[in-house]
Amino acid sequence: MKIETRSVYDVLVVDMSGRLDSMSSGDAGDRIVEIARGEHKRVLLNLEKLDYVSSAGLRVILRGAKLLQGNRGELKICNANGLVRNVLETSGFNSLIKVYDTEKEAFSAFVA
Amino acid sequence: MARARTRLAADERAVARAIGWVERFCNHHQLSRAVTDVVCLSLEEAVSNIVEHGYERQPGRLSIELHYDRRALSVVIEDGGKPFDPTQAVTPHADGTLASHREGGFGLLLIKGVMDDVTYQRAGTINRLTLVKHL
Repeated sequence: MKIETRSVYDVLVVDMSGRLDSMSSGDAGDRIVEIARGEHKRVLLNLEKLDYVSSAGLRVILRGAKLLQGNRGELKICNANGLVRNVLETSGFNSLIKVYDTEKEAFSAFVA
Repeated sequence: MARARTRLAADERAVARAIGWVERFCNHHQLSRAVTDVVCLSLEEAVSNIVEHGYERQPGRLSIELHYDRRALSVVIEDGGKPFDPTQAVTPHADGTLASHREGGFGLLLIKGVMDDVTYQRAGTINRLTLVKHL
């Protein structure tokens, strides 16, 4: 599991790659909490290179989204593929957190 | 028809060992990445539940049996923890607000969502969960 960040205007894009599961969720959770408590109020998780996510991974993302919302910020998700997209849809997670097909669509939604 | 069985300690390393074992089985039988992933996902959720809720993080054992033929891959998971029927458990649908949504409950939704058949039996002191993925 690898997490890298880049700033695009006032949005912090978080590129997640590998597997976000029970084994990696501890370290990933610490990093997401750190990001959610940071200076950026708009955070976009780009899941293009994330191959696998389980409920332990969903809990990490949910915790980050709640922290950001409590701090008047917002977390969005984009570029989920294959199993990750399936998990977001099957769990109903995409009704809690906005999921976009592309980064461009997510940026437009932040601006709106 | 291929069959394999393993027994594991139901501890904090059980999920990693179970997934590693299933991955090797799927690779050996050249199952697709998509099938391997959904079976690993279901197993991760089921084994996590057994360790956390079935045995409440106390020492215990579990077994996993795989049956594979051209039509389906079946996973039978047995444990001696507290009786728990995941097919009857109430899973909170994530249709509320973000702030009010609790962070648990996704695992059972995922098992039911990605597998084609999920059945539970209580046999004496044993929980037996059978998961089937049609191929």
